[in-house]
Amino acid sequence: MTEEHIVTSFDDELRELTDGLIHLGGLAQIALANVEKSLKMNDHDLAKKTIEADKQINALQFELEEMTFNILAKRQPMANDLRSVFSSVKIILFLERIGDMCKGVCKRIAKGDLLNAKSPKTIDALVGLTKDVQNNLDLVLDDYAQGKADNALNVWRSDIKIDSSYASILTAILEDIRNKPEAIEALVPLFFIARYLERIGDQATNIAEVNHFIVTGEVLTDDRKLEAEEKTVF
Amino acid sequence: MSSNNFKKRHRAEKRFKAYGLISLVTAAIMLIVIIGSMIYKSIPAFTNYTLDLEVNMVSQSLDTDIEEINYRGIVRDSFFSLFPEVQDRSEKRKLSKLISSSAGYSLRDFIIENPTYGNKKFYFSVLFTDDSDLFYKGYVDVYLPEDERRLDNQEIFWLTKLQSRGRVESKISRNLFLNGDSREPEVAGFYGATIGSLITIFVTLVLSFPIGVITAIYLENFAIKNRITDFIEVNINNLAAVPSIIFGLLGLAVFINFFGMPRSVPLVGGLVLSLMTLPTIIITTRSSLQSVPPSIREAALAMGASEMQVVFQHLLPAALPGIFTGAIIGLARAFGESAPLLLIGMVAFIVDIPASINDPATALPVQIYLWADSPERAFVAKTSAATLILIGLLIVINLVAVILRKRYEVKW
Amino acid sequence: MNDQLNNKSLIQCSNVNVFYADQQALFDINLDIRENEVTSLIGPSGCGKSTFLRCINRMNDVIDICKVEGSISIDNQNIYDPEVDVVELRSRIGMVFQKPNPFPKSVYDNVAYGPKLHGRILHQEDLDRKVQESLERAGLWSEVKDRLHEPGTSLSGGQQQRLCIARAIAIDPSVILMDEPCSALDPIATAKIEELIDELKSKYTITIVTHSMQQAARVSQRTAFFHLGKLIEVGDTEKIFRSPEHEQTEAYVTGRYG
Repeated sequence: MTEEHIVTSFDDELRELTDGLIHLGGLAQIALANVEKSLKMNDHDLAKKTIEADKQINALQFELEEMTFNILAKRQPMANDLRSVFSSVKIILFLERIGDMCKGVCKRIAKGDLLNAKSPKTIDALVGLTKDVQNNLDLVLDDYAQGKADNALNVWRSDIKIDSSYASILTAILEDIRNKPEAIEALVPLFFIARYLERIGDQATNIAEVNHFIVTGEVLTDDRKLEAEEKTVF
Repeated sequence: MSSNNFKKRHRAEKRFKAYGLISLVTAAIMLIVIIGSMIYKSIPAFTNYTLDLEVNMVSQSLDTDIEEINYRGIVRDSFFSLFPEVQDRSEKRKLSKLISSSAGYSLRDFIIENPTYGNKKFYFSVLFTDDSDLFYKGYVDVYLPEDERRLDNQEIFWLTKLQSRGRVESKISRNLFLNGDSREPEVAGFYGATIGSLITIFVTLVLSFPIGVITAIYLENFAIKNRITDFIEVNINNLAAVPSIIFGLLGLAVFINFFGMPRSVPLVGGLVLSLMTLPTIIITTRSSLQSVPPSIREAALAMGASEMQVVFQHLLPAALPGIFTGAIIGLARAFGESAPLLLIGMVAFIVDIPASINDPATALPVQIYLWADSPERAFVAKTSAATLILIGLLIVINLVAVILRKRYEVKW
Repeated sequence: MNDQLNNKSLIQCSNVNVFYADQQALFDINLDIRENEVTSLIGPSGCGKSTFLRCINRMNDVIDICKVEGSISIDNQNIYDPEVDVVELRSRIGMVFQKPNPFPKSVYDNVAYGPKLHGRILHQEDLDRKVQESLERAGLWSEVKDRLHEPGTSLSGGQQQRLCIARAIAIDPSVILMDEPCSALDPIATAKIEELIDELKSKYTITIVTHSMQQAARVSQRTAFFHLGKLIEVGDTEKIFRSPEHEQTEAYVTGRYG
């Protein structure tokens, strides 16, 4: 919506909220990028730094939540404003969750779990998974920043791919465990990392759905996704 | 800078308040002066000097019809007996002019009412003429040269002699309040004119109030707005500004010359004054109807009231105080009007008290005009007295307006 | 529009055009108003929503220069049919105005006015009962039961407005029209009226013009948005305030209309 509100301070507040959200998204992107780098390089320092950086994300989360709270109380937004303010609350939460999960991965890395696992193939697969997830997050955040929902379906489709990569990583880890039952303790952390990454992917998809709701006012149900899928086939 | 500006504004306000106060005081002083001088001038009119005259009716034969007795002669003889030294005919005539010529009539009226006095000797109160009365009241300057006074030395001597005998006393003038007009100031009263005025105004009220109110309601609520109604509206407003004498001319031409109605009667006077009052009543009624909040009209219409029910159940009751005020102000104006009445002959000299709308009558303002025009000095006081009564009646009318307004006032 | 036809439509307006002299105030309005629902009409000032409301009980007839075309049917009867008696029509439709406008009579007489006017109630006890029932339904009985013979104008603004509602429902209308009924009231009085509207909708079909979008959102089931004499959008209230179809509607409800 390019047109301005009659009350310009309302516009300012909405802009501030959106900017804050984009900033929060940026922090989540950095955290995820750090995860990818630390995974690849087994960089304990970077991992620790990322854990530390999560506090920043949490602080911004509270700030933005307060902002939405005030807008709801003061402006009683309607229609697209209502959708965007209400959805902000959800996106804030999703991004904060992403931050938390990046922190979780980094904790594992910082503990030195990667070396213990002695499974470079799985770690490579995890790095690949992270890249896919990163890509999805970039897409949804770009969409959000531009007020569009163009990539919603792409993200959703790509998430199916992420889910299947996750499944194959799990199978691989299980295979490893079956082969070397004594290494089970060293391998389980990889399992958790995979699980975290898959969840981050889910959060990105959630953001894509919320984005779609903000822009179109319609909830992206599974039926609708399939419908859209069918359309795009032809 | 700005504080200076404030001071200037405050000063201007104080100045304006002072001007207002000054004009108010000026107006109040003028009113007091006018009313005061009127009261002062009217004082002599409210009292009359009377002579307690011993009337001897013993010699009257019981067979004579009491209506045919020469009362005038009896009064004159009784009066002459107080001055046995006056024998000369011309002197006697002069002496007889000291007491009112009405004395014989009032004795006659008294005897007719009390026939038992028909052959007795008794004291009877007799009015003096206006000039003698004024002398007793101190309005005759005895130091003026004799030929410049209304009373010569001889007359003053007689009057002084009468007074020294203790036969002269001052009484409230009943004639002023109970009589019609007369050539003799001591007999003339404004009762006839007041009744004439009231009958006239009654006719005006009965004609102009319903016609005016109904016209206003029709124009305001029912008439379709087009050129004809616009034209009528403009003309009604113009009529309100037409000088009243024009209505008199109209009445003369239409009611008397064309319809052949009698002259000098309250009916025609009322008709003419109605014409004059109608525009005022129509205009004030319309504006009071307009001042009823439109929300009331809407509420009633939305409840399913018909246009006529809206008018009679809501608009009219709410507008009533305004309508009364307007009507009464219009009537008050008519009440004080003399010019149109002059033209339709209500200026005639009428002694009898009118009893119906078809009796010749005059009106208070016209009476004032007539008396103010009369040469006799005593009429000056009468004029003032009648004016006071007129003002008093107008105050009463306005008071009625205020009471009606308070009573029917609607609070929103 | 996601119409869930749970209620049948009571009032059908088709191709309603309204002219004030040469100026057209409403353009081809097609709108159905459903039974036992609250329909709110929103839109900027001068958009024709009040004019439209006044078409429903033919209050526009009072204005000489106003001309209405098209048809409005209530209970399948075209109220602009020449045979329809306007007075009879208005006796079936209650109306509540922007400013509380009780008659300068007692509380009792205000409520009893309609039934007496239409001669529907002949016995004093029945009238008393009707007055009490109407006041009760308007949520005013407990506040005024001891002051029935005081002038209606002596009540507070909110009470006056509820008195006007009681007066309107005393004639047992099937439809109640409300023209910005709360715009002159404080928030508490407004809340009471809104609560009342919510209760009344089980018995009456209510159409309300309001400038407060929050109010429309709170009290109505369906909302119609008018703009420059045209009906831009009509739909379920939730839909209108969450994600309206039309851009103009969105601009208006979000406060971007300039």
